[in-house]
Amino acid sequence: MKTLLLIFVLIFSGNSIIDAQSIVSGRVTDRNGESLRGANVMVKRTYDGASTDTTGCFKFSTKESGDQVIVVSFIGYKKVEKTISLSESTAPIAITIEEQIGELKGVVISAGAFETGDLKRPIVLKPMDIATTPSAMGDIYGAMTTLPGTQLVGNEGGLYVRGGEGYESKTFIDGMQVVNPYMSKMPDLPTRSRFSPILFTGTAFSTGGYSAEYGQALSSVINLKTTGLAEKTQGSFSLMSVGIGGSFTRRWNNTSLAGTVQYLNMRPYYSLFRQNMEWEKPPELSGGTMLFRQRYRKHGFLKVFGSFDHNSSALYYNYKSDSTEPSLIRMQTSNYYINTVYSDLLSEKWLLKTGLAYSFDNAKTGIDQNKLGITTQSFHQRATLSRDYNETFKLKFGEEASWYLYNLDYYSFDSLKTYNSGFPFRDYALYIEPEIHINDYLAARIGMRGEYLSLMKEWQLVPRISLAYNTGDYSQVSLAYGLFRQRPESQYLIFNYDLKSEKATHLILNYQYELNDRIFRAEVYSKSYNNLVKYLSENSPDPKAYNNFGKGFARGIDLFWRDSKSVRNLDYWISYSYIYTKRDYRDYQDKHVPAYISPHTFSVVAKYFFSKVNTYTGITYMHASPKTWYNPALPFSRGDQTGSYNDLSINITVIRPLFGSYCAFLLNVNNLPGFNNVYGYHYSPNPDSSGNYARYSITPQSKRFFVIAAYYVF
Amino acid sequence: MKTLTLFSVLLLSIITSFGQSERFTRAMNDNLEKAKSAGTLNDFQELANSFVRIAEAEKNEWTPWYYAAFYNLIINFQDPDIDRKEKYLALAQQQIETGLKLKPEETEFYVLKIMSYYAEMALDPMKGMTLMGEANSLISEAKRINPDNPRVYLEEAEAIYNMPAEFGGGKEKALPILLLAKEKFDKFTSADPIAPSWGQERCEMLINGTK
Repeated sequence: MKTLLLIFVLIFSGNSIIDAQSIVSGRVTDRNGESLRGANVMVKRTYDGASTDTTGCFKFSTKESGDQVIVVSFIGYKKVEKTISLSESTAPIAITIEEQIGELKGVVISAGAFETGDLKRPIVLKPMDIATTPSAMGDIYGAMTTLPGTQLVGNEGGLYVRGGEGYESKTFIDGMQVVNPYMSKMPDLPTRSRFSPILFTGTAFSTGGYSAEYGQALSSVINLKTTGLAEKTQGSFSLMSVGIGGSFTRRWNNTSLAGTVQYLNMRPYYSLFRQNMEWEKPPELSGGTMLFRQRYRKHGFLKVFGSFDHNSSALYYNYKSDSTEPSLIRMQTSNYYINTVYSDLLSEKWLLKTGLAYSFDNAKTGIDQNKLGITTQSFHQRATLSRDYNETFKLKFGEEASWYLYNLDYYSFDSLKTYNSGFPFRDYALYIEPEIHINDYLAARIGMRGEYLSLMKEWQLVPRISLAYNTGDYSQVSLAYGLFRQRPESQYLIFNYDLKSEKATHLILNYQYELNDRIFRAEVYSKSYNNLVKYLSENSPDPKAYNNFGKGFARGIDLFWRDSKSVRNLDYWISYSYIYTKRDYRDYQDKHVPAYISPHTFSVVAKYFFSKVNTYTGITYMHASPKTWYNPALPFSRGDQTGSYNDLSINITVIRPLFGSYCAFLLNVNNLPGFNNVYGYHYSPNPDSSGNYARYSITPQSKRFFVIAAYYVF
Repeated sequence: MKTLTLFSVLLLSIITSFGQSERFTRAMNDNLEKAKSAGTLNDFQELANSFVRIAEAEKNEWTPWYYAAFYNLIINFQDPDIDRKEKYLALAQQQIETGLKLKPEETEFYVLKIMSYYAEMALDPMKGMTLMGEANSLISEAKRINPDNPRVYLEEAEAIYNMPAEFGGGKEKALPILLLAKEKFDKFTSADPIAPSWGQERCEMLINGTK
């Protein structure tokens, strides 16, 4: 009973102590002594406090006494804490607070990566950005070439990143492999992405040093993130100068289903505007996509993405690059792709992401009477578990398995024989990647990836390390190092299974400055290549004609600036890249600069929105310095220089209301001023009487290209 | 003796926790009372600051963060200065996220988040399409979690009400949703007197505006 009494006494006497009040008063100013109005002054861990008045002064009473922490916070300023001793006669306190220029955001692992899509982070390219970049004409990879680190290779298309070939860039959809992300291509003509940018909410484009989650890519990884649950039920219809399309989306409570169909035919356009290539059958394409989304319970989410397309065309083309009759090349391809991704929280701690993808691609090519058919099928399965233990430690690990079947049929008209060859192979991989935030300034991500390639019976262990250091509230420096391996292309493996994986090492130093919607980044990198495939002659059936003795290196600097803030409704970005690279691969006789390399590339993209008239306008200027092509008449080290490449493209999109909904009209013109661009050269196989090899320029199909389109949303 | 100690410890904890929660309720009510007569940017600033003080001291209460964010949004809507608008919006958004961490799936925070998207849209029309999409998916998400929160419907109607008729908006189009919101307001009762209960007047004002 005594104890109880004591406790009551304590409680009530405690209250009476609290009843004694102290007055806290003072003034809050900035560094220049200007008064700040509206700052919040408080005694830490209590309700007691006040806002400052117009003169920066504050005054409040508190029941606290003794040493207390006074906290001052004000929007746009750094929070200040000050310990003072409170008593009934506390002297007024003067507090100075400092402006906070950027938002304090902890360090992020960023070397090499153009992470995009998150609404709150400075964004590099969103689907809308890709769709409205004039030079890209709706091609995802085309829009990526306005970013630094990429090459403009107009006669090939696709992504050539930091000295790497097109095949060194790999595309993923929601983390799942896409084996054939590009449309099949005709010689000297660029290929395009199979998928429309509108399907995706975000694009993570990495120019090197990427996570251990991704393997089998030497140079670059593009991860396209598909949209979540569709917002609402709606449909759209589009009419273009090159075809028609439509889409329909249905939304239920926890489910959505969307489908698109498209038909494109270049014939009307090509018959109106002369092309400098002779088409027997201009490209014709039909295809569609399907998106199914289902939410389960609280955190479960299922995504199914499917697509198909059929593509056919026939072109007269002179393979020999001489005055002989051109060959007729017929092409017919079918592609099917489906991927299913499921993510859920396990026991509220572990995030599970798992997926399965299947793809089927059949490409038939006829060259005069000869026929080549290539069928690729693949399955890809992946599961990743990740957990954020706390602010400072995150762990991610997972496994991947893929299965491929590659089959080639060749019918030779000369020998009247059909050759058939093919092989299945399986790849397995395990990866683990902890991320440690050592303190507010330093973060490290240490990844390790182990792979086994069944066909070549090859084990690989590749480390990936990234460090990031905060150099200020709005800038950071990061460093990335990693080993990257990729199995040789199937067209070589089919003749020789003993080839080893090609190898690249990346070392990247990155500086990044972010302030609101302005971003500046500079990267220097050094990349080395080993084990590149070399051969004596293309398509030689002799296994001994192939080896792994190829080597190369690439060094360069990439600069990027984007500002969507300074001028209202204006968004622009500028990229510049310099690269010094040489490689000895394929049938090269020595190390030299590959023909797809322009040492300097520069591009500007600007978009302006006229809000009064609901009109978006965009302009792109791209410049690439001359490329060097190997001329059989000249010493290997010299070669012929192309001119520099220039392009100025524009687009205008007008959005207008129509029948209670809206429609959009688009005009896109490429190479508006009509620059004469030469991508490269072909040389005749035999020299003429004076020892020169006749030279044929590879140029775009037509000087300008334009698209008119109308969309109606209902 | 042991029992007694245990009992007294229990009693003590009851007394202190009762004292605390009473102190919390009183402070919140004081502020909400002040809010009734608030009209100037200064008043809203005082309120937002005061709610932040309570929020910082009470680590487990979501309502002070809610009101802090709410009044910072009000400042964003009323302050004519673009730079300050942006700052207050960013602060409100931060506070909404802090609150959501304390009470995930609280649709009242969804309402604020939707309002913050509208505010952001007003500041940057180029982001309009994306933000409208985000706002719409939040609206349907909020309806799924709590189909009876009238403020979700009110905010849904606000956007349609203010959208030009050519783009599928307009007062007439907003009316059915406003009437639905009114119905929900009429039925709405909150167990917690501190929890948000605003919006009915605004809803009626908008309904009158359609006439």
